[in-house]
Amino acid sequence: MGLFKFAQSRSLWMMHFCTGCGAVEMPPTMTSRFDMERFGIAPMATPRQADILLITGYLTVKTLKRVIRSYEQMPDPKYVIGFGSCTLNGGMYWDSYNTIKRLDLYLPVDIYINGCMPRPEAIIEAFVKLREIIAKGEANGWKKYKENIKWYKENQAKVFDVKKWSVIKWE
Amino acid sequence: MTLFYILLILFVGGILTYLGAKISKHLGHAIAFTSSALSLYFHSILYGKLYGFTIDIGLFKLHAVAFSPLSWLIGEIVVVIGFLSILASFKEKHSDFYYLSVQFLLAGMLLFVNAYDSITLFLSFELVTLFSFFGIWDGRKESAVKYLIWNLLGAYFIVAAIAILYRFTGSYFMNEVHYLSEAQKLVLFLLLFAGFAVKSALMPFHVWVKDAYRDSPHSFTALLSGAVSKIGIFGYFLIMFYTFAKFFIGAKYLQLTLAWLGGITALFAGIYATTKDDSKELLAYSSISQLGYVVAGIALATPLSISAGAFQFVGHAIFETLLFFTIASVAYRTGTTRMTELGGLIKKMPVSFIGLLFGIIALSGIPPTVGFPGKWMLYESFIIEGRILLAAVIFTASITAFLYSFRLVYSIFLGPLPSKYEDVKEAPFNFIFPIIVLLIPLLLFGVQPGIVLYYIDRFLSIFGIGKIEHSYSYIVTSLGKFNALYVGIVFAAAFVFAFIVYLLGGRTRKVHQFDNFTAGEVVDETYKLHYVDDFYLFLERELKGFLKLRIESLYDWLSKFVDGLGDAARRVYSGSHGDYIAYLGFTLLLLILIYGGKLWF
Amino acid sequence: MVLKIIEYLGIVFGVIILGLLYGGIARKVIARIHRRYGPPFYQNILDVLKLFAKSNEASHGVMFNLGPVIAFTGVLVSLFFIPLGSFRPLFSFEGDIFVVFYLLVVAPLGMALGAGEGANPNATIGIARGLTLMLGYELVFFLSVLAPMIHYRTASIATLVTVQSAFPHWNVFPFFISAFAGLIALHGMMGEKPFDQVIAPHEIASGPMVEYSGKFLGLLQLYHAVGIIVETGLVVDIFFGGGNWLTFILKTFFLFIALVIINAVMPRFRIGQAVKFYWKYPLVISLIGLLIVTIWR
Repeated sequence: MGLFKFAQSRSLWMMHFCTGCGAVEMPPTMTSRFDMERFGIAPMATPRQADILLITGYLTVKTLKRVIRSYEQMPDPKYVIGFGSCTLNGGMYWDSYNTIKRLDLYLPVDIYINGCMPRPEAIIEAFVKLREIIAKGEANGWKKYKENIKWYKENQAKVFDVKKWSVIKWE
Repeated sequence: MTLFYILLILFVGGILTYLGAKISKHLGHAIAFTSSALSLYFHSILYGKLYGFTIDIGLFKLHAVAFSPLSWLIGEIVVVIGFLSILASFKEKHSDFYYLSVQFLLAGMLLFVNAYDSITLFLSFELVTLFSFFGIWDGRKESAVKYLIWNLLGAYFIVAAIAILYRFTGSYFMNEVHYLSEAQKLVLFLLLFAGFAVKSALMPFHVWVKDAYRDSPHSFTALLSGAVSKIGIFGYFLIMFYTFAKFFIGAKYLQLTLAWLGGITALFAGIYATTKDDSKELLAYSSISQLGYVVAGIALATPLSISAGAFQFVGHAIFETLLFFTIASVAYRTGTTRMTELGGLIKKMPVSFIGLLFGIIALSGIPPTVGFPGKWMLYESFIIEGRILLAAVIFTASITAFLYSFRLVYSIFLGPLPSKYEDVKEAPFNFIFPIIVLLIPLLLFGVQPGIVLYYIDRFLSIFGIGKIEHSYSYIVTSLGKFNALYVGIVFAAAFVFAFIVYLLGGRTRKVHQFDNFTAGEVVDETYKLHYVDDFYLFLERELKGFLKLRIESLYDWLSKFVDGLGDAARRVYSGSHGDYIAYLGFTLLLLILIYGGKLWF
Repeated sequence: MVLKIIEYLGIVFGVIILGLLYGGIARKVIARIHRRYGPPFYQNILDVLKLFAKSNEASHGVMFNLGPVIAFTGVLVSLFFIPLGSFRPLFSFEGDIFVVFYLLVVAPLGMALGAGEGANPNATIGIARGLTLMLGYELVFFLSVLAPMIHYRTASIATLVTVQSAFPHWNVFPFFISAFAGLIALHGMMGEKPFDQVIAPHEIASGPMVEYSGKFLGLLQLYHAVGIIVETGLVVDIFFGGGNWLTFILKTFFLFIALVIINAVMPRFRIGQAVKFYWKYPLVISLIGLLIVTIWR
């Protein structure tokens, strides 16, 4: 089983879903200068094939619906990384009527990266940290989501129509 | 005399069905079922026996003798598919006359493959044409008329050849014609070949197939494709290896031309099939294509290639019929055969799906099904003979088979299920039984091709053609070896291994068809998720010029030309008196000029 | 008998590991061409292990589940009928090139059926493209492989390997025209750029793999890995002389890396362009190769 844990930490596939402006830092991280593929991380086209969901920046309600749907379509185990300060406390859009201020209420986040936007070096540091906690077996955001599904759904219901946009059944 | 009794059962059964159906539909069905079941039973026990009869009809005698095991083979195909087709047709709506036509059709086909003299041959050919016409008539009248006209053309070719033959040899028997010149033999051969080519849908005589197959009742199309086309194939065997045997074996250029005709048919029909939207049209072109393989094999006249052609037509009888029965079952439940309207039926009709799946696996010629050994022998024989381009053409035709067969299975059974088919159930027993029955030889003959090959050996030896080296499981040629049983065993073992690897994975959850990767959007039926229109549009775009040239346009041009001629001729009758007087005057002048000299001198 | 089964299983595992290693090294080669470091060479093995450790995958039905299983089966069956160089413990004498040609179709067909039940139009578009592409490269491959077959009057791959026993006797030298066409066809068969229309992650969201996750994707990776060995192995056997197990591995490796290098620097054809391309130059080249062989005899 140790081998599987090792493999899970060394082979992380991220979903190529650019949710916000922080995603502009992803191409430099993927390409030759900072090369995240050497950590075993590769971008994948669909949520079915991905392990990591990157919330790269602010989330509007419109994007949140699709992010929740894609998150629920991913197989287990799955990890969420929150990029930038917008996911922590609303960041630069802290007083906007249209953005989500605390990502934590809607999705379980495993790692936050602060910054606006975080540079590729910070992103790679976060990936290395994610590796470590996966290898230790501490990255359990997906389990938290399953166990506290009702609470998450209540929060989500306050901003959009959960019945229409959800993929899993929770009651 | 047992063949006579079988024919009697079918003829009497047909009439009784018609009369019985007037009393009650179920009585008619029962009689049809009994008569076809009895004919199947009696014909099957004739295996390996010589049989025949002679009837004196005053003016001439009808001779029917099973002069080769090929007669029994095709006869068995006819009665089996006839029985299954009648069973399936009970659920469909038919006129009372339909069952009579089908039984008379079966009798006609049995008589044809056992005909010993040319009159019986021609009589049974006409019987087959007439009663299959009535069968298609139950579907759509225009297609039936088109079928009839083309097959009458074929019949006229045959009767012309028979008449010429009688004039030169003084007899109606179909044995070896010795005292004719090479040119006369060639003309007769080509006339008879053309007549049989219409029945077996060889290009350029294939234009009736698309409409007839599409519009005939679905269970009848299975009979048309599986049994009636074999009549033409039997005719080929007759003229190539019996009546004109010495002539044909020596005529290398003729063999090559006919083999190329078969190859071109296979390729072109395969390409047309990829562009069709209606499943029965697609299968019609697929049938034409597969029969092209048979002709290419038989025409090359080496033991290996003839065995290949023979094996291929046995396989074709099995899988093409299976495919048509599957379409019949789908059409029965959903009411349509257009692929653009169907989709996702695998969840509702799993047995039909299995039938179609194995049908197309056999059609594509994938081992270990019955479609592969024939193709394998075909390639080997072409390469041994040095016909490489022909092998390449047949290979390309075989790849087009992958294309259109995938389109067929995807459009009907895979993809999203439209909500109007939510309540569709599996097809009734009448359709499932033929599907399951046909699956058995499909797999059995695929892993043990020797079963069929030993039988083919027997009629090849009667025709004086050599044998090929094989056993129940393997076939050996000078190029290589194919062991069907090993392929089957390895396949099963590999599947077990792959399945064990699969079981090592985690638990899955069943998801609804709309829980799909749609870039995060919520989709429902208003979104077009079924990629089923213009499936191979990128291919059609590249082949646009090629697809424009079609033999139908030639025939259209011909008919317009004749029409134009007739139109011009009509204008002779202008209705004005001056014109008629002028005609009279000109004729008189002409007569004077020609005979004037004779009159005065 | 039991020993034979253990031997076969050993070969299957060996081929799987080898295929995964090839894939990983290929990623490293592509990375070096991009002037970066790339993942460790054993990365593909880790990927497969991770995929099998996933749970809660989405399944659209029985055929969907069986699709990758059939794909893997198909490529394993083809493996058994190809001589791996001179090391022929499997059934290579019981089936010749035509059997292998048709067995190689089982795998894409299985994957196509499974992806079809996924009810995603991206998947079907990918498969339609794949089949259309097959119309292009299969014929070219058939004709190019036919040249040595006709010359040596055999369709058995095992016999062809025996005939090319030492270095100067490799088929690629006398039949270099056919071999050239065959290599172009191999490039399409392997789905390397410019012929990777089937997967095309940026256009059709990875085509048939779009709905597959977890263990299904793992099976497809294994299928791809064994497929590399099978397809390059076929070409090595016919044109590059087979050899003992070590030279066979080296030859398939270098052939594969050559294809990967071309893959790393090329964009992708449109599917219509790809088929048209195949029917232009490679077809003519392979026909010329065949012509030479038939005239020579």
